[in-house]
Amino acid sequence: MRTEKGILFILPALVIFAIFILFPAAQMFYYSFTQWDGLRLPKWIGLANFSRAVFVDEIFQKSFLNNVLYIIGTFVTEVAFGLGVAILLAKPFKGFGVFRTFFFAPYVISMVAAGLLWAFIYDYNFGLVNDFLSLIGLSRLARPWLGDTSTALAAVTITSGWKYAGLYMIIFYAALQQIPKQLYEAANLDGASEWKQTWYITLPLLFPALRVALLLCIAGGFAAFALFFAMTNGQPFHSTEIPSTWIIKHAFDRKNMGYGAALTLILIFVSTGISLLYLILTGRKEALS
Amino acid sequence: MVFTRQKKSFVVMLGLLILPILLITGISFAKEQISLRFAHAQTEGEIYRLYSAIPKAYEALHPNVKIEVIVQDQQIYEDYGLDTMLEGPTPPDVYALHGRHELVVKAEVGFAADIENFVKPWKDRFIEATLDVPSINGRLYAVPRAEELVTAMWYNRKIFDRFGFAEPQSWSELTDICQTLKANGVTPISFGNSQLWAFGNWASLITARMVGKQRWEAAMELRERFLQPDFVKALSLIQEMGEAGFFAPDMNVVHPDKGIMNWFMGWGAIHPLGGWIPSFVAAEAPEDFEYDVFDLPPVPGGKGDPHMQEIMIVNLVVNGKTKYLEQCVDFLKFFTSPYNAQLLVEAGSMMPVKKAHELAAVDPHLVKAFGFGELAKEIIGAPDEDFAVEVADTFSEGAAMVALEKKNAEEALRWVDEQLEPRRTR
Repeated sequence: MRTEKGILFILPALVIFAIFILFPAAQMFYYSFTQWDGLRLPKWIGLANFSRAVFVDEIFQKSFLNNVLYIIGTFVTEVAFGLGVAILLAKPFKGFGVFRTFFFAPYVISMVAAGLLWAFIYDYNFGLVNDFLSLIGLSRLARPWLGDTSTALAAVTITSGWKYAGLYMIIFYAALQQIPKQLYEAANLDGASEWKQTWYITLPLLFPALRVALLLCIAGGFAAFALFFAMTNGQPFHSTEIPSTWIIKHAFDRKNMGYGAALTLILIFVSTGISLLYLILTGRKEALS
Repeated sequence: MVFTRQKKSFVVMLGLLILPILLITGISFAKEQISLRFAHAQTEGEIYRLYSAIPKAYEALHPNVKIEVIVQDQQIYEDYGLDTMLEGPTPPDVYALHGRHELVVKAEVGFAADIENFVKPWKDRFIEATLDVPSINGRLYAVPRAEELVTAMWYNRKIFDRFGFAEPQSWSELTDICQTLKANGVTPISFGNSQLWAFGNWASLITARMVGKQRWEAAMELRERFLQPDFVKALSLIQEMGEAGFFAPDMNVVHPDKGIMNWFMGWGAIHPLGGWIPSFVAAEAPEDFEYDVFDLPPVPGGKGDPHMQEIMIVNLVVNGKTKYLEQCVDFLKFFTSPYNAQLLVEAGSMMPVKKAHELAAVDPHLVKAFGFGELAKEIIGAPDEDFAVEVADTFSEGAAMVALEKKNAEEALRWVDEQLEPRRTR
């Protein structure tokens, strides 16, 4: 009786979930085995799309590498930087609250706006970066930061760091507040230096927050799209191509809907697999169950 | 009593005679209310205003017709907006469509009506060459609404005057000009190529002039491979320019609109782009900006028409599933009437309607640019409008790789063929 009542309560949500998530997912699964341009009737081609993606499409394969490099980069520019700033600004000094606000402020800007803003900062002709380099006598280092295949991905990663470091700073700052002050007092009495206190007290006790931050970084990295689309859209020459931008190009620009669906399934499989692996490796059995 | 019965019979007979007449005239007076939906992606400027004003004018002449105008952003419209509308519950009855490739697809699935018989009586108002694109197997599936010059060599006249350049008539004169500009710290040729089509259109014209229109179209339709000696020759011209540093190194991450702005700011002397430049200049350029245009000089050793032009036709299509086919065609007839054509020309859109340009006050730069076509024996379409986007984008990207020295001509064409192999073999 209670079970039936429970099901009745969740039924409306289940119906909406089925209509907007399950049914489109099932359709996408079907279309991934077809050649379809969105207008003509889909033509069944079996595993041809998947075969192309895995064995032929070098750009798709490279896009995963770009994505992994981006995730590693954002771990440094977002998580590590956010952690460092949180530890520095956790001290109860006057004015540090204002600094915390400034570091968090970029997070509230939309991703597209941030991307367009930084595209101007990196501009080859009039961007702030090249202007600053000229000002300090390093004009020989000026380059098309977004137009150079060797710097474009790093440039996008730094932009992502600028935007999201504040979020991780807040996460770690909240976690830092949970660490008992007595531990630091005891460490002070024992003569431990700031660095030793950070290494032996702060970081180990921040490990749960760090684990969450890393998972957010990985999941967010695979879901990244807006920043790449706004700044480079995979250019120059796919050096900033990530799976999501390549999928959009095939599905919508090139009207290869079937192939786009297959690429999407592969992306889901890979990102879910990596997230599950991460949970296993960090011993989060309860999250898995 | 006999009279009353006769009177009654008379009244009944009269009623039986008059009633049908009243019914018939009543029906014809109560005309069917027709609602049409017209979709397009013209979002800016005077042309956008006319795309709203012309339907309103048609409604004024046809009180039983209401036209709902649906406008979408160009990118959304082309990528999925139009297709979504066509397959949705309230599809457009008339819609704008660029080029030929998508028209063929739409006709195949019934979203483009065969209007040959309806248009035949007034077909001769159009410039004949512009009827090729909207025709499939000799029958019209759309009417041409605009002919856009896809690429011409627009240049900053102040920069040219500063160095005393005349408009180049040959390829070597063009490269000499670029050499001098480069030596003096001016980017010779600038593009906003983040979407690949800007440079791709220019590279396509160079290539088509080198290999000839038929071989160009055969390659774009994947009937031939791109890695052929004449195609290598064409991209080698671009390779030489790239090695000499004639192109901006960030061109592939600059949006087309920003590319035009950069050109206005003087970062780039020559900006190869389409016939919409004058309207952009009128709307956005600094007041003291001076510009002009020259035709791409003939490519050395070219086998195609040395004065070949690249033209895009914008079609107006009637949805094959509309309930009001005749009304839609009548609306197209009104839209492309000489009077409306003149208004559109004056707004900066070249109309494929005879004499429209003679009657209208056209921007002289546009007149000059379209004048290049007078020498042309052959015309090609924009690659991403007349052929599959995947093929066009892949070729455009290969050409850009050559320009920015990522690959040489042969490597780039081999790469293009490899990328298109799955499409070729499916």
